[in-house]
Amino acid sequence: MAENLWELRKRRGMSVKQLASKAGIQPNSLYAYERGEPIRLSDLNRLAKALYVDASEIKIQSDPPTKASPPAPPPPEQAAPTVVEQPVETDKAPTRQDKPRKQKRLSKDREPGTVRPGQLEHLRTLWAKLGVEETAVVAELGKPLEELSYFEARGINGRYMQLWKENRAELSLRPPDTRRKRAHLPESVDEFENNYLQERVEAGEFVTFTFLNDKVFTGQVLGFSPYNINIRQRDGQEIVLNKMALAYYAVEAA
Amino acid sequence: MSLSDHLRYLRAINGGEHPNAIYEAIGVEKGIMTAETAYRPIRDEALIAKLADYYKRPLEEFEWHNARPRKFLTFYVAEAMRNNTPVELQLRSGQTLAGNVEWWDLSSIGLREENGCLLVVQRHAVVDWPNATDWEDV
Repeated sequence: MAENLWELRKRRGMSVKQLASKAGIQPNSLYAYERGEPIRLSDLNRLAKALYVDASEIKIQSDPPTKASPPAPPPPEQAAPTVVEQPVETDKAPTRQDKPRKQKRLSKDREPGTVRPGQLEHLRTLWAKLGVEETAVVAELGKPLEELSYFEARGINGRYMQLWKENRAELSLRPPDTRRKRAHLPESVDEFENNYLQERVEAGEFVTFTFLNDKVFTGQVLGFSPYNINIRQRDGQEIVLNKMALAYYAVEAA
Repeated sequence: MSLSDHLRYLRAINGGEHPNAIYEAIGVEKGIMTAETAYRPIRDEALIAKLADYYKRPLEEFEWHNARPRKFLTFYVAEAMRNNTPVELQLRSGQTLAGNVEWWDLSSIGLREENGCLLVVQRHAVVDWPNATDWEDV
């Protein structure tokens, strides 16, 4: 059974500002929704998440609040900002339910006024996934990310998380980034000799191996490792050659 | 031949001692294995001196090898392959092999001789090559 948005909010003991901040939407929008404006689908999902309810439990169009519990009108300073500033102020006097919770959060959350490094890291990861340039966001915000408040960062995170969810399917279809992450050392390639030896194994050809001391062995390559080559000589004898003692080898001339 | 290859060669012809035994003998905590696997010149002069002393070899011999690291051989063969110019590789046995580089990798060089025969030359067998020390470490 769907309920009015303002009822759900009050049951959670949250102010409009708090819910707006938690959901990452404009407080003005939230006031409008609570007064009966239809909730946009993208905001509905955010609000549902912030209220820990299913989206279906929120009325798309809330009944205006009763006179006994009207939502407070938006204060003038709420008109402009994109995200809500800290410290959090409730739009009503804190109830006995609110107060301990608020104190607990503030003490637990360290300095509520400043953005946490983890938040910034998360945002940067999110922007990388979405292909959003950090500089563009900073320009839009008009201040460095490090100067954001905890709740501002949270609001921004909500906004981009929503964007990510909406575009996840499309973004995951992007071809994987195949660029090398580190330099490729030429010496790290060891496939050529392996390929050569494998071809000799398959062809059953006789190969002549010349050692550093000029000794020569000839045989069919049976197997090999990075350090040894196992051959069968013409007399049927199998021997293991230590590559470290080898100088060079070649397929036996016909 | 790089000093790292030379060290492995010396260790092999001296009975293939475990590196631990060598660095215990010369009083070095660690570094032998690093020295034996280095692609670049070894910068620890004290270690080079101790190893030369251990193998009872002139220090100059070690310095000569140290000036010809594997990286420089890579540069030489890679450039020759790029420009399709022949290379000359002098082996420890004294033999000199010449031809065009068809491929090269971690352990060997595919050298096409003038007669069309493809030799797989082990890098550790190559002692010297033209202008071996003219490269810069990068």
